[in-house]
Amino acid sequence: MPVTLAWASLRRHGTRTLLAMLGVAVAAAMLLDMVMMSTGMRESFRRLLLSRGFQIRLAPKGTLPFDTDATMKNASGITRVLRSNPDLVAVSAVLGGTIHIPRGDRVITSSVLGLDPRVQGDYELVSGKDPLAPNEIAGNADFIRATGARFGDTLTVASGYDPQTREYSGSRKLVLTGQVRFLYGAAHQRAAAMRLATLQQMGGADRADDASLFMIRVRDGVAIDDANKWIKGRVSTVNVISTESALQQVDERLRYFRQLAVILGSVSLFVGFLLVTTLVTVSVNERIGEIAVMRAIGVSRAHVVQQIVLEGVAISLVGAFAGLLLGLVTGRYLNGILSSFPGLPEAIDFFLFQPKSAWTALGLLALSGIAAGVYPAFRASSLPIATTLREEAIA
Amino acid sequence: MTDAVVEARGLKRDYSFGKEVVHALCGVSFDVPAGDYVAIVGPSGCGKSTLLNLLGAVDRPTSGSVVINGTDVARMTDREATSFRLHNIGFVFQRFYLMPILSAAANVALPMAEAGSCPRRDAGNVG
Repeated sequence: MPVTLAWASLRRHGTRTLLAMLGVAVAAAMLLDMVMMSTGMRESFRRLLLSRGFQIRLAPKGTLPFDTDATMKNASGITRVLRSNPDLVAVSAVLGGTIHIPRGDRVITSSVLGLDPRVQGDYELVSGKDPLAPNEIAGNADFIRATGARFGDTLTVASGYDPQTREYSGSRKLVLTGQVRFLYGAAHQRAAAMRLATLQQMGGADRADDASLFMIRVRDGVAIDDANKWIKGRVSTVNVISTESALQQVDERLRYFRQLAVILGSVSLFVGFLLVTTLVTVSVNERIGEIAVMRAIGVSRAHVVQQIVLEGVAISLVGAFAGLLLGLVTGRYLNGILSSFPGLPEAIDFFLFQPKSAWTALGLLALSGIAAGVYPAFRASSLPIATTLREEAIA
Repeated sequence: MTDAVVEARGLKRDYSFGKEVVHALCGVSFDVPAGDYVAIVGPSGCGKSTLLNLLGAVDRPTSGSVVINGTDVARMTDREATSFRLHNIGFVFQRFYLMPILSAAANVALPMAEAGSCPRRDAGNVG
């Protein structure tokens, strides 16, 4: 019976109920987006780090991967040491840099990674083939668009360029072999890949045996901490970063994002709560005589409370489900804006949908719906029946 | 032992409005035997509704007792009084107070549903 009465009561002022549900939907959408944001970026980053199966990264001492232009010397020696451990099944040395490609009157500048295309975790091949030979290069869509080159075209590529004298240094003729998508590349950032040795040679004697980063895959079943300790014991000139420690550093950097998400999420929840409380309280005030009659004919306090709490929960839940859809749409839109933020990997999602996020948002809204109904329900159930009926009769 | 279904003894009901106290009922006593029809008449404000509220267990007397079918309803807890009203008392309010959100049939069936008994199928024909 409380369900029937709650449903009838909500239908009585259908437009008002619908507007309240829409209000809750907006609050729920905001709440879901904030819940997605508070956990999404970290989870997205974790998935990205593990997407190619590399669990450990080595960066120059005191830095994070590609945080600075610093490089590690004696890359071949470090690689030899690492490969001597059978638990480290894949070692990929990567050198980052900048290249310049003269095209007519223009000079196309692009970032570049020198790596071993057979063992790498930085890009995915989209079309064509990997730059396996020393005179080959592959680029991302922005690189290929900017240079206007096609697969098989030869490009003059320089590692240095002086715009004053218009002189190039470290020039090579490289053949474009394929289109790739860089996993850690920022949106609209031109980027290319070539063999590590090629980029090292183009950089001259200073960079002949340098690497910016080592990516290491550990054998299944081997503890990452043990592998970390082994590396630290043998290669003292590097910063050893496991996926977990990288995530801790990401957590530290994203602390402000999470605080913002918690504050905005709490505000959304509170606004939704106030909206439902107001609506249910107004509704109860309007039918206070009816409630007194119900009590007079023998409807228990518990059923009156159930009916009113049900109204609050129904508004909250219907609004919450509509809000989930709205939240997904707005989350995707906002994600598109933030993902194109300069310097951030395009593959990182700020608003990552996880079922847990949806359940959390739904659970919080259901609880707020119950809480919103408690005050008006308590008020309605404790009405003095005779006094209320007399006042209603006079009114 | 009396055969009265309603026994009112020394019923008083006072209403306080700040410092002022209105004595709506001042020591009303009467019996209603089983099978009798009783009408309470009087001018407006003489306490008819107050008396019916006490007899219907929707209000409590300031003093005195109301015994219905051997049960003193003035001493019941709210839960007991609610259950007593549901199973023993029928109300026809002066202003009817039908629930506009329910059909006529649902209005009639409301106390039955609350009591957990199934309304007759043909009750639906009313609304």
